[in-house]
Amino acid sequence: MNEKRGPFYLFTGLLIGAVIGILISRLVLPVRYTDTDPSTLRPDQREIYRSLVARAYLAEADVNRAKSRLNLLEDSAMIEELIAQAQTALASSDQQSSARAMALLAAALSQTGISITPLPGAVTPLAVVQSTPTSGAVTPSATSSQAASSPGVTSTPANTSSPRPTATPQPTQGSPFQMVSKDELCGSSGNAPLMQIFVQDVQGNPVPGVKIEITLVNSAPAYFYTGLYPEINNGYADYMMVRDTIYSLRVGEGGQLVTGLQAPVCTADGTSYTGGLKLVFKQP
Amino acid sequence: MNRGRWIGFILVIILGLAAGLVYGWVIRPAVVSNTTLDSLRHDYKADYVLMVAETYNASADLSQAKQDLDQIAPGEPLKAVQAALVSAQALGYPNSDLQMMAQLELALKAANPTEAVTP
Repeated sequence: MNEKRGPFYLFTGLLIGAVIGILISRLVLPVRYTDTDPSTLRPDQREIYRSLVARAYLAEADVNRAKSRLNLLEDSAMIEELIAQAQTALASSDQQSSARAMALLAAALSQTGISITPLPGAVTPLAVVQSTPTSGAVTPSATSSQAASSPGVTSTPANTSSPRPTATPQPTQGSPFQMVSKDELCGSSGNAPLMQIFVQDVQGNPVPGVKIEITLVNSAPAYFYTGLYPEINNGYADYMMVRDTIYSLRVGEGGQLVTGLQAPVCTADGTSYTGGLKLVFKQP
Repeated sequence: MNRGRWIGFILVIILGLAAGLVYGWVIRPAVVSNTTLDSLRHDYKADYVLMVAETYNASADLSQAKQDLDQIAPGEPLKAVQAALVSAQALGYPNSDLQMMAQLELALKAANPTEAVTP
């Protein structure tokens, strides 16, 4: 009787083998990645990495190093990713410094000529207290102590703790701001399409901490502040524009509502790209 | 089933398993994606630690540094810095960078002396 069953039991065997293979690969011996590179990081981990690159840039002011590090992520649009993350971080109260660092780095990457001053060291060099050999101590502590006291290292005077510059939003006093100039920016196709906003008081001095309200069609308004880029201008703020999108903008409480703002389409060498806008607001 | 059929049955199971492995390892190998920072190669980790050391040097915020280090070595910030120092020296990092990393290491040790002597 058994000889009449045919070869179907072989397919059953194949199926069982495949199921066992899947169970092994999923449950018993799941894939565990090691020795990966930053380009393979999942999105949330990329954001952590990007934020750290920006904070290190703020500390060291080395834009080339920051760019090399960001290149490791292999983002198709490095600057745009940076700005998008900065804008997201701006909405979070505990990520303001990261947001500022990323915005500043994005500005430095997109516009040549922007440089920042490295933050002064806030760490006072510690005395080497681990000099007593311990049987269980790990080797690197000895090497690091060597590095710290290497004769090749320039002796650095003890730095005193110095507060980092912070952008503190301040209430705006005086007359409402009005737009006094609007220029299209078609500098280079590599530049991010930024809406650059400069806010000045009646004397023409930059005003930090001014609330700016930007509205897109059919969406809730977003807010940001001037003063987040003191290295550029204390009254400066910017916003990443998207092509074919119309924006409305209000600077300060009760300021003039400027409607119909749109990123210009620039042309160079027969190719078109999205340009930026430079808007100057002033108190009358 | 007779003995011959059992042998055939077991053989096709092995064949199915082998086919699955060849498919997964040779024909369509898994694309590495969605990894985490703790899986980075040692030289990338060394640079990561250097970034943490740079920010720590400017801010003196050890808590933030620990939080950052936790991403590449959960619960073991000191070991992460020590391993990075070894890599950094092997990779020929400049002394100024090594000094910053060593500074961070010393700060971590000072903050948690018990961890410094734990093998």
